Amino acid sequence: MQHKIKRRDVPFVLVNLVPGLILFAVTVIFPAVMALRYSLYESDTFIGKPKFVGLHNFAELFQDKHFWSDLSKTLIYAGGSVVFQVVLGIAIALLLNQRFAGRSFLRGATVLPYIVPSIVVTITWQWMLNTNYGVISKFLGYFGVYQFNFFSVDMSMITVVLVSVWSFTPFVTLVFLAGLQTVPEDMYESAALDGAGKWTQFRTITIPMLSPIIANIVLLRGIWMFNKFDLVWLMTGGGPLERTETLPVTTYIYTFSQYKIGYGVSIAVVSFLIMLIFMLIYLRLMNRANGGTRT
Amino acid sequence: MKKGLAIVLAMFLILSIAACSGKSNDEQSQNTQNNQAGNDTTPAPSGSGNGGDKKQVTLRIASAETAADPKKAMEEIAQEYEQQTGVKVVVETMNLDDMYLKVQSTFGTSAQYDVMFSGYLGLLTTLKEKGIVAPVDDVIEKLGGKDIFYSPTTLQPILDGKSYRIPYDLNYALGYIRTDWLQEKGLSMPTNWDEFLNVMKAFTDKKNNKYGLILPLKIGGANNWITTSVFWANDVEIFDDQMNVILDQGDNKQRAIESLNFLKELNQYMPVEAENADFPELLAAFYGGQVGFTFYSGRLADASVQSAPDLAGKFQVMGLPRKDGNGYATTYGDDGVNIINGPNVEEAKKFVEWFFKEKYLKLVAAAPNAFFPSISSVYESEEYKSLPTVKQFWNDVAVPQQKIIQEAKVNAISLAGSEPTEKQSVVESSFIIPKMFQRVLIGNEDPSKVIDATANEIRNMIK
Repeated sequence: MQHKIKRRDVPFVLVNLVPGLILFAVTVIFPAVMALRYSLYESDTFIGKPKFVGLHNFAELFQDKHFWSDLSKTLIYAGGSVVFQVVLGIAIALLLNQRFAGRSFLRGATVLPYIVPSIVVTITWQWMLNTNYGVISKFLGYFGVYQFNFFSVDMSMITVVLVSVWSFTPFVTLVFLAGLQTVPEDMYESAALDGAGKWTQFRTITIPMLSPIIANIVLLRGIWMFNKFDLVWLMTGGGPLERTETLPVTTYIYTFSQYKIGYGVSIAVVSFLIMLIFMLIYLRLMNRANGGTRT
Repeated sequence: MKKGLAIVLAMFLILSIAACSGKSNDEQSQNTQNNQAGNDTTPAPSGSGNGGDKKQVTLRIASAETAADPKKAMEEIAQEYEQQTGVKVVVETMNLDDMYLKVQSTFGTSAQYDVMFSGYLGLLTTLKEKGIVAPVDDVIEKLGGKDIFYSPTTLQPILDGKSYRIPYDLNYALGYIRTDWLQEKGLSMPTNWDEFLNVMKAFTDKKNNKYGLILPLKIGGANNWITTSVFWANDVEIFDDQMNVILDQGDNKQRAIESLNFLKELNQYMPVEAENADFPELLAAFYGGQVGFTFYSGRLADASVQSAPDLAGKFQVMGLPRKDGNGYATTYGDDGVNIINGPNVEEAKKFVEWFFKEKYLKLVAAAPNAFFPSISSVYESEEYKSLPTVKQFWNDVAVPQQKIIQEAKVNAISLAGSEPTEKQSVVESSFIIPKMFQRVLIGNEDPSKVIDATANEIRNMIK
């Protein structure tokens, strides 16, 4: 039920809203406005007076083949890692939703990869995948696969996606596991009495019941992976041959390595707009799914 | 009612944004101009406007000496200066890649740095153009003039007739070759490209994970510094004396193609890790006995005492043989001191003068082969020669290193052309040359087309 705000409620509403809004303004809106502003300027340093160039950076960006190539790599990276995270997340959540000895321990242990800092994740995986002395390379050697380069031109994107999946699937698992707890047990019992097998139960009960969560997870993880910088940068630096150069990496390279600051920031602004479009589509879909009521 | 509430909230948002906007670009620009103007005038004593009260002065040093021993030496030097003069010196150690960003983003603020101990800084010209670094000719004069330095080092710091940098060591890209492997194979030190390829081939035994060499092919500073040696070894030039791009012109293009083909041939004798190799991978491959040749600074020798003591007496320093056998080539590099414009510039100069006169050897001793003295008399001194790792590697590292400094064909992206300008900085920071190497070696693209494309890209970047 919606409650209309009355005049006497205003002070109370303000007291509750304003601190959060100020924080939001300082940490989100202000940097976003500044970024938008920087994207209209040309500068090769962070000091001095930058030159106002209007929309020139954007015009240059949209004609830059490099940008479109990096955008496609970003979509491959974000899309690939989200699909694997969701599929694996559901599978592991279903497993952890069963009753078995040591379930609590396993549930706790599953979260570990998510809480390990990115720098530790990357260094550990770089060691493990090292062609020369990595434990995984040694293991592959038992099967006759020697000197396998996980960071080659053809493999680097796959490797980065898989390490990202390893690192972020636990979050997805946790959310799905929480969602599974809300599915009433008697729905499965009724379905079983009607002769539905496990697969039918999963398809007709579990998935529909989890669909709002799936939609949320796909959106959230999609945004996070689209903007993921640290893991990709630390793993490969965008290489080799720019094969893992996603938009956040490109933004960093232009802004902090090549000091084409306005141009670099314009990439960040376009990334933001792309994400905004995805988010608006998502909100519209959610709105429609909820029968047009305000969510 | 809702409208009123919305207006109130919007006001709060606007006010909070305005409150956070801080100093405008115009103000910061004014600050920069003031500091630039201060270049040629005697700055006021540092501190909080307390005139000559030195106890109020704090010198902030940005140091790229991240290794444990040099970092400790820098901190001790700072403490000693404070004890002697009352001027507090704070050393902040940071990666070289972060230094340029930190120095310029703090410039003109109360947190600005006063002195930089930086690695090979291709962006010096940009810092000078922005008025961030101060000329140091007066300090050099007080130290005994430019003649006290090895002559090549004076090439780098001269901009518009003034020096903005005092090199405290030379970091040429040194080739390290396993002499025991040479002996085992009955080979001698290679003197031209054919011999070099033969040696690399002889060193390679892929079944036993042994390779001729490793060069850093990852896009980054190591590639810019080391792998470009193949260009200098064949007299390839990026710019002519008028700073026009000539990489794709006439004979120079032919030489560039030859260099890239040479690199392709060498690639057969490199482990696959070379594709992603940076500094650590070079050390790991050489220390681990996986390769018989790599490039590095003198740090490889210094660190081998701890990390690979068994290698002592089994390697020697050399340059990259030139194609025709007419000596060796290498890429220039140094570490140097810059003084940053600001209220503490005179105090910073005093500190730098004191450092070179009183504490130079202390820093050099922290990594004596890596910090090859930029001052010739220090290299000749008994104090330097008696340092343990210098003594240990005298014949295999120190002597050949000095020979390379004096005799080898020396070049670098930032030395390309007739004089240092921002153009070299742009080429260096864009990593376009390392990308060119990757396109040929990893992408298997035609060297001739890659050179044409790279040259055009450089022209676009610097126009």
